[in-house]
Amino acid sequence: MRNAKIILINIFIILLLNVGSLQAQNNTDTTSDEMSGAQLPEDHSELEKGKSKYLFSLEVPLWYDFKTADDGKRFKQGDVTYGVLASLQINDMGGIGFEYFEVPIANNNSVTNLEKDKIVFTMMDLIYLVKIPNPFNLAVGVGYGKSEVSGSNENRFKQGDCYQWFLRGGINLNAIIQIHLGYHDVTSKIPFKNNAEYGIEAGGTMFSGGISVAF
Amino acid sequence: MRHNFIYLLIVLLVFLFACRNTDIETVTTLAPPVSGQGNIVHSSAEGGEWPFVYSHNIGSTPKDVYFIFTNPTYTTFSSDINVQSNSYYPSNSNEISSDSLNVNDGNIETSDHPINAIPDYISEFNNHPPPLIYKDDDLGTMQLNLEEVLPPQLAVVGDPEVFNESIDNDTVNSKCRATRDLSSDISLNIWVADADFTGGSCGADCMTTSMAEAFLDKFLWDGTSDIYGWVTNMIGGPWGSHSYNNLIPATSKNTIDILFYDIPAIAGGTIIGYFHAKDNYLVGSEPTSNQRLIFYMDSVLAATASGGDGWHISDDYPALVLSTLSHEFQHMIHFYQKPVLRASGASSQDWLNEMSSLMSEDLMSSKLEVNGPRGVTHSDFSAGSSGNGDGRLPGYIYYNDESAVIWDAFYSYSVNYALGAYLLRNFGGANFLKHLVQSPFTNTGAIDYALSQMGYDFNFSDILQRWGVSVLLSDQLDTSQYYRYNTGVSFDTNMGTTTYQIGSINMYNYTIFGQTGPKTVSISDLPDLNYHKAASNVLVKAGTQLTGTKEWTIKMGRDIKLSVVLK
Repeated sequence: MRNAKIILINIFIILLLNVGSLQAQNNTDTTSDEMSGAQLPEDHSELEKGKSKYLFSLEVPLWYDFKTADDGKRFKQGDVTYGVLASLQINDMGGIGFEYFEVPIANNNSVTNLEKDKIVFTMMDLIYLVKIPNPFNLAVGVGYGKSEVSGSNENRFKQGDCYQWFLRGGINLNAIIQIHLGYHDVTSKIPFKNNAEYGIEAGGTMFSGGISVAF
Repeated sequence: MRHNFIYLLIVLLVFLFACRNTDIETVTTLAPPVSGQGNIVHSSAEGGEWPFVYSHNIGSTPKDVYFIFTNPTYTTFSSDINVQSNSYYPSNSNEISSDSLNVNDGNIETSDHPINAIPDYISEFNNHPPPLIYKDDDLGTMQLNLEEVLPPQLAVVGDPEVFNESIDNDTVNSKCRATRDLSSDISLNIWVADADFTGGSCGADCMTTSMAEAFLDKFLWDGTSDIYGWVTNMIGGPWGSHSYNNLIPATSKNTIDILFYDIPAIAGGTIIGYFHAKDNYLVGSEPTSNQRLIFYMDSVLAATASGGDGWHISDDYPALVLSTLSHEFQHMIHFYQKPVLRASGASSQDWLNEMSSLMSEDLMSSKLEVNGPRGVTHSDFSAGSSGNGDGRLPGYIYYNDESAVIWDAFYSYSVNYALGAYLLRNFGGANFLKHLVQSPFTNTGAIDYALSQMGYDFNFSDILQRWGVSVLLSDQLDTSQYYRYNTGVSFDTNMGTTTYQIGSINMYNYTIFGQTGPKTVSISDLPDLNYHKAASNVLVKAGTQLTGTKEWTIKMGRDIKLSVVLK
């Protein structure tokens, strides 16, 4: 089942990229600010038209749903998730991003809820902006980083690896500003220090939201 | 350039998902799973807000599984112990219903060991004595107008004396009825209140000269084979030199007085006898002091015969008085050995002082030929027979989740005797008691100190856990070291030329209110447990006749310790 999922995702990505690639072949390559020969339609963003070189994006996490652990249960997000997801794309070359977000864990078993534990994710991303007609925008990406438990129980854990793929889609408000929502599929397990055969399921799906500015 | 980037993205995507760590088994708790095997496990599991999974490899032979939750702290917590079986629900055939959890309404006073209901202000005085004034403190001495007093002299039979008693704060007119003077610098005077001696207003409960002499012989015969000799050999003398101006002189050690009188009953119950440290102070410091080494015993109990063949000191109540004498003598010695000699005026917490006295009774039982707090015939060193309702232990099996360090006369005699009996049988007997008393520590530190003096690398928390295990395994004769209540024979201690013998204990031989053996809680009744008392164990039956590897999800407080017992 997992392998089928991987294959489908890869096919989806390849299709998206080919669509974008076909669109690009209908236009001349624009590595400079000046247009020559055929011009991009007016309904493409300034970045696509070569008038802007950079796209800076800033998002915040909205909520996080944990995946089900091997014991059949799942953690529940406690308080508000917060953090920052930032990226910088350069023309058609793609972009890099940095993510830091914290997900508090609610303990449904506690008599008193005095202790606050959270899972902290730190990742570096690779992002590609898919060319689709205005006023919409779409980006895809993958990320890798570390996850760890923070709080009163942090000494019980080692660091874990985390991976993600994500989609980000939205609307171009004007030639410079975009708004978008993101969907992230995070994979991560954090092992116990004293019993590394066991750990916690830190993976999950996250929704984010933010804004991009072209310049 | 763009296509290269795209291909890199795809490769990374495949790489990331292919290289996920799938070896870890994930659980929905921040506490790591813990496993154990064997018949006795002191788990390293740490409690807290999060539960943990505990698994135990029981093996192929069916066994009952018990969890012991130990609170080793001085704090009573609201109990949040919770146990869920992940693979099995036990039948709870022997567990006590939740009605008896944390319930303090069962009267556990047994006829052979009624609660010695000493008023709180006497215990308070003994365990929090007034400040001792150093001899070089001239100002303190002047302020109290302290005068040197002559030490008590050996009395002559018939001598009158008026004593200040402590229950009604009244005076007691008495006469000396028996004396003994040993050339080893110790003498004993037995006094009986005029009203409670033959010819007085005591009716059928009068003491006689022969009774007084019988008690005299038991307390001081030759200074070696008597209460005085046996107890001082263990824990030291009741008085001697010291550094304080407001205490009776060192030479007071040469005479001990025992006053028998009809001790007034109080609302709390029967008073068998008492020691009140105010008598160790000079009157300038304590106006009602009798300025001597003295204890007070109830004449009515001492004079009560049973068996229909006249009075014998081995009759039930005289024997109880005799056992209490050794109990109170420990208090007298404790006051000198700890606050005066070692702790600069600080005395042991109530539970420690009382536990020391109960241990003294236990050690003296076979020597005095009286049935001590164990509740088994003094000459029988086995664990006795089933259905035993005597001694202190029926009360313990009923209140075995009560605190060992919070003193409540209602249950603490039982709980602290059980703990003291465990310490004697596992950590050196009379030698352990000696270090417990002869230490500068007034709390659980005294137990840590005694353990280290005896060469054991345990602390109070370790002891509490092992004590709980020993209670559960007390019906077995072959338990391993540090878990022994019952060997079927005596536990012997040699101190000098004296051997002290104490008998075995099987908690399952005791019965109270229809309950036989130690109380255990079922998993389903745990939520009804309101408190986890300071320094206490909660015994939980987690499974009946289980085999293989079984799992439980356990929630317990941060400071709580878990032990697992299979039997």
